[in-house]
Amino acid sequence: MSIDTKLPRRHFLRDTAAGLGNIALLSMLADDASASGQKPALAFKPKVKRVIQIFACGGVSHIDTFDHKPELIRADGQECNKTFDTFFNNPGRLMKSPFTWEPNRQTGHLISSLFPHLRDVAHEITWLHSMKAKSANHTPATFQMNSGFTINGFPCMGAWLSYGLGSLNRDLPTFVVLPDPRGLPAGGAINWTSGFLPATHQGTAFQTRGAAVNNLFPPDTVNARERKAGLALLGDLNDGFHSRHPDESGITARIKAYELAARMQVSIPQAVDIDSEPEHIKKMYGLDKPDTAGFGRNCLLARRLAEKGVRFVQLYHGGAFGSPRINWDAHEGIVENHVGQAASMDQPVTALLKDLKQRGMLDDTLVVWTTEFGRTPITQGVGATGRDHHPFAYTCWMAGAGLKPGLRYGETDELGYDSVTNPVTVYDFHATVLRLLGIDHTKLTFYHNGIRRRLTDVHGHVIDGILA
Amino acid sequence: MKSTDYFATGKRTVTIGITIGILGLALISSSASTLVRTQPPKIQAILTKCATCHNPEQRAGGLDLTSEKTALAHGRALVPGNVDASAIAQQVVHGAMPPGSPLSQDDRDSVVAWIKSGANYPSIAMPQKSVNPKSWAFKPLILPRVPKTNKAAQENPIDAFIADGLRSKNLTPAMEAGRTTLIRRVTIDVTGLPPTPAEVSAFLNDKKPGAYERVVDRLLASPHYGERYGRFWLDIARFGESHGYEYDNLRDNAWPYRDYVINALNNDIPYDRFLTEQLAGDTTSPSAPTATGFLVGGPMDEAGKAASGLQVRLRAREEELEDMIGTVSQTCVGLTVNCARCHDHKFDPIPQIDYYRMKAALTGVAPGERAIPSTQSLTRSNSNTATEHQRSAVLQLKTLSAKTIPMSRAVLPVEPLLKWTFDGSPDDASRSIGGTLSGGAKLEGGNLVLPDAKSVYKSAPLPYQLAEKTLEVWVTLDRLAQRGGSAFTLQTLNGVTFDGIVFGERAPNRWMAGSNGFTRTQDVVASDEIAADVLPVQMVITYASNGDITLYRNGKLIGGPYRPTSAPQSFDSNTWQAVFGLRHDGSNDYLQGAISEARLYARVLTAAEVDAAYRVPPMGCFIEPAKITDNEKLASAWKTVNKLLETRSQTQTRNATSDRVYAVTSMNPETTFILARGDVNAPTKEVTPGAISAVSTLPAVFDIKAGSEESDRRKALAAWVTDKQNPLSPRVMVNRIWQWHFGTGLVSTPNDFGNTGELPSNPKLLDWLAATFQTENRYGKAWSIKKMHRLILTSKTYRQDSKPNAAASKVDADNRLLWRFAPRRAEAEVIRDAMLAVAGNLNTTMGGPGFRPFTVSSYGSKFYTLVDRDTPEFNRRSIYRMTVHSARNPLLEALDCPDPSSKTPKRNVSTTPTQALEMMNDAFVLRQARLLAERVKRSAGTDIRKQCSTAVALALARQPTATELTRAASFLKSNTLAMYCWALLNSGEFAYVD
Repeated sequence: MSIDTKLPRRHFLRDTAAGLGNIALLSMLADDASASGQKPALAFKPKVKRVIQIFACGGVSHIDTFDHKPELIRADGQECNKTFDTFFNNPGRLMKSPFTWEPNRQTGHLISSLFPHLRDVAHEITWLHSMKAKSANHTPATFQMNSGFTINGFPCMGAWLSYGLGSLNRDLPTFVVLPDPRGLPAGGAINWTSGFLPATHQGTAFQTRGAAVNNLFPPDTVNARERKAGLALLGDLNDGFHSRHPDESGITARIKAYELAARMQVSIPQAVDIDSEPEHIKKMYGLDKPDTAGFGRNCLLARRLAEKGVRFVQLYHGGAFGSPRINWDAHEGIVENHVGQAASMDQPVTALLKDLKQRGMLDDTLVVWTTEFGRTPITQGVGATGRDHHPFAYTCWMAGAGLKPGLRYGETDELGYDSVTNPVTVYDFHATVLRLLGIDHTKLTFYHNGIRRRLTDVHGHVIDGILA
Repeated sequence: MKSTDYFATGKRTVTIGITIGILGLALISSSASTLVRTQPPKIQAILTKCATCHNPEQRAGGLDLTSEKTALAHGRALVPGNVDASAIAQQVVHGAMPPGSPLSQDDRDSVVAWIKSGANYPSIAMPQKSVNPKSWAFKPLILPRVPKTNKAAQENPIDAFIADGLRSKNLTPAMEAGRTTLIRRVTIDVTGLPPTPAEVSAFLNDKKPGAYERVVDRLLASPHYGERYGRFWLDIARFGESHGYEYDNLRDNAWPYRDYVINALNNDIPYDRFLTEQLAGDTTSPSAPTATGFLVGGPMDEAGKAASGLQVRLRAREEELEDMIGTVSQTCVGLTVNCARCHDHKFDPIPQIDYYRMKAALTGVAPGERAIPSTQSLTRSNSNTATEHQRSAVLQLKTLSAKTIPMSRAVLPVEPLLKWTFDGSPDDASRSIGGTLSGGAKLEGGNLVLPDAKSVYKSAPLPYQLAEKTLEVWVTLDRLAQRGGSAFTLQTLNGVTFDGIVFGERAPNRWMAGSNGFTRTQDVVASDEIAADVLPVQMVITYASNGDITLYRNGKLIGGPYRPTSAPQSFDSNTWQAVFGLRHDGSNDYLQGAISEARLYARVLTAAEVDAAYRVPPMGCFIEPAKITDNEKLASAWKTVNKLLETRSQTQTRNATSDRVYAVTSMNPETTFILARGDVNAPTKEVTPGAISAVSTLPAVFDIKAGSEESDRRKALAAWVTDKQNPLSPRVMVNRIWQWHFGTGLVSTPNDFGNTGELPSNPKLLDWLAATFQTENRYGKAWSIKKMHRLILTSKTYRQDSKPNAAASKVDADNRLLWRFAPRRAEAEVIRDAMLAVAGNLNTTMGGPGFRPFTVSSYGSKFYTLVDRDTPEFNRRSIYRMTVHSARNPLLEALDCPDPSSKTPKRNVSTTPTQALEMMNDAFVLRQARLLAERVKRSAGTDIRKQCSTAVALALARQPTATELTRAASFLKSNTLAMYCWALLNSGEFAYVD
């Protein structure tokens, strides 16, 4: 039976590094760069064709935002005899949420005063209240949310989608990252790596200053007329080389890549031209207020990029360390930290959902909102007001086509300590995102060092309960 | 090609094992069944899954679920009829089990319903070991006979094997490539740099026989050879110069490993030695710990490893070891042992135990900086131990002290709660309270002697209530180079909570207040311990009720007071004990030395009281006079000794800072257990060091004597890897060398010679190469890497031209049989280095710390901002660029320079618009184009045709064609030479090896 354990050789070669080069090449050579060419490959009818992910860095407290726990009010100040897997190992006492909670008008879902805007659209959102992370440590947990693995060097979801689905618009990158203007997340570009997938699938981080993409344009010192002549000369040189190797697909692809690069020089500046948006839209995203302007700009940019066919846009809310903190890592005090963070996120994210909806884009776009873990129902240290990392339970959400809007899936226990009903692993989360895009998560694989790697490792169940 | 090719076929192999089979069957019968009690079949499937870990063999969590009897025997696991009392239900419902892949909601409901209904136990088939077939690569290595072919092919056996392969498909080899093509191909291939015009013309004009062979020999002797192939070795070794993860701190001293690799290749050190040094070099020669940078080159989760949370720490370490095991097994023997961490390997005959045996072999490895003896200090006596001079000074001090210090013991300023004098006197707590000596610990001459890294003395439980406290201990260390033991610890009886006087745990040579999860620990002691290996020292730590912790040494304040966020630890009567030697139960670090006396006070001593206590030394200890006038002779003897120790320490520090290397630091190996599903909380069976059992020619378990050094385990691993009976190692390495020259190996999956890897395209050739590599023969010495390069490079196969051949393409489109030389895009580093070289701007300085094309800012984590400068330092070869995880170079990255953390046995080759943008507009490329133009002008003057031919000769190592000359002439009339050079550097021909 050993023959069965062997991958068919032809098939194999296509999936290996060399083979993949050819795939990238072929899709590049294809004149029709639309997604339609990819559809036959999909295992399911896709509900959405693009994804916008908002990543709230630092660990958002589920029990202070979207997962109300009245029992904590009663038990406030009491000891908790449960075992915690925290970062600082300094368990304090149970602490009620210091915020007020009000219901969404349609569903009654209680949402804290941190998210008054989002509360209004909570009925459009599908809530996952029973997430479970594998690590209580920021970077491994963030890596897991991004790549399924807690360690460095695995391709992140955007890279997998680029690899699996290709581009919707050849004149723009397939996978764009919009870092928080306040700073990069810890680990920086490690977070949007293509890992062992070809460099093509790497996330392109748009720069907050200058041209959106590194080296999009030559420096001013290069004379435009002369560059044009240089490109013509380069074309001739390449034609000469190509004529000696007419069948060498890599050489052909290289010529094509230069043409595509030239097209990007036109399309990217158009895509990022936020000034062309009407005033009421800018205002909707909060571009007129200092608190919301930074993240609001990125949310608006995300919509524009999605609109123009970027397959996967990932927005970071929160950078790494700063003093005071510039992310959700509320060790010192939940109020001081979360109030400021939420104020900069609530309106822009809500605007993004409303804007996508009013444009009909929510019919084929998936918005996912994630954080790397939740926070403890106990304080970090007796008498303190902060909460430590908590991987056993946290809330993420999704919105868009193919989902049951307003549904609250999964439950934590009365303290928000553990995900007790319908726990959702990160693998399940990823499997579901892929499913909405029409992909069977067990079939999207890439051979690397002995394993057909998957975004979901060897785990993951699609969360059928949230699918419409 | 259809886009379905992105996806796996979904066809799983039969080797997944019987478990899935049963699961499948059970589900089928479940759905087909109309019985009222539909649970058992489904439950059977679920329990069968559970039994993959919970079986009599592994007993994960002490639980065996293969029968009703064993399931009930556990007591709490299964209580029929009572869901709340059944741990199984709780684990399953909360998704904790099975770890990492919780059951579907349906299945969870079934389990609950089943228990409620009385848990009618189905019969569970014992999970059977799925025996995966051994791949071809395990077969013993026998030198194959060279096929008889035509005469030309007989000169080099490689050609005979290739001709044989081609003949089987009715193909013929291509013609030999022209000399212009050959010289560029072989020069870039072997050195990573293009040939100079002079080198090209010398070869073209060398009409004597053997011209090509002479070029090969010249290139293999070039120091650039090591830089070229060293890069590929570093790819496999996932060499990074920062830690990655959250903080991504720099590894300032990782570069010596890079130099080690380059030099080892250049000196053609035998491959068996090359591997041995990288696995256990620290044991083989004093200068070779550098090579062990191989083991620790991967990313390191610093935040996780230093976290207070135990789970976080354990997992971070487990990931680190998996990375190490994966790297060792893939690099050395082409097997993915890392796939067997959670379960037996799905495709290869690698049971889970093999993974943990390898883990046991490597579990004493910690990444860290260590001093390597400089040449100078090597010639001296080992500076870590006291010299004769120091010894005699200390002896004099002791004699003087004995004479001058009155034996009538002064009275302690505060009465200790307990005092361990270890002399058996009535107030000695070791007598009054009692305790146990173990691991070679003994009472001798009024001291507690702790000779070994397992010696410990633990008191009986102490019948006192303790809140505020002061710990005082008089201790001598066997040597200063020891880590993490405790001179005096108070711990709860399970060892989970403790406070102790710990030496060298977080920083070498430093005392600290050790505590569980470092919750009450801060690194406040500013200077190294310099004397405790020759003199007893008094160490005191006070713990106040407000949390303040203060450290004293020999009566003087050395650290604190500081107040940790964690509350002070108090102990209830009979729940705690004193421990000497071991840091605390649960750690594996022991202090080696002697304790003269330990004093425990139930309150905080003031600084004055600490000094007063110092003035009351235990028997055999002696103290520095408070004032010189007290005893001038003694004071001067102390001065001499202190100065000597100071000098000794400074010498060490100097050696250390000038000769530090990021490499393996040994620690006491922990006992290794198989972890059910790889879960750090589910240890099952204990294992000892070993390797892969499927290599049946060698024992899978190493013969390691109890109590031997940690490094003996790694030495045994190295011996296993390089044993001539191990057929994998030579096959894997010759395949890599082949791949380096042809772009694809004879096995196209260089890190995977298992069942998911590809079969060799020419198995006999691979074996011939491997056997030839392993032994000394007419081609050269045993394990000589250069011998293999030479054999390949001088073959006719390598020298074929690259012209297309439609007929051959139809039969063998991927050129696996090598009917031609396939052109390929050069690697990122070659393109960058070649630009520097042709522009006359390459700084060929070898070795030493790399250049840092970034600025660093630190906000807890490190943030890198890339910079590009035209300075000689920045114009060194790419291999000398400091490789930082979060500071990758966009130009190199766009050309598929790999992520340093992924083990990359083979570079991707992608072609993207981003790549084109970088090549067109990157400041570095534009600058090299300008410098190339200046160089051309200097040499060719203003003659446009001469400019063109000079530029083409430099950039493309050939003469321009007539058409090219005409085109260039017209271009240069109205455009700059710099733009012409820019086009050359951007051309496909420049980027390709043809």
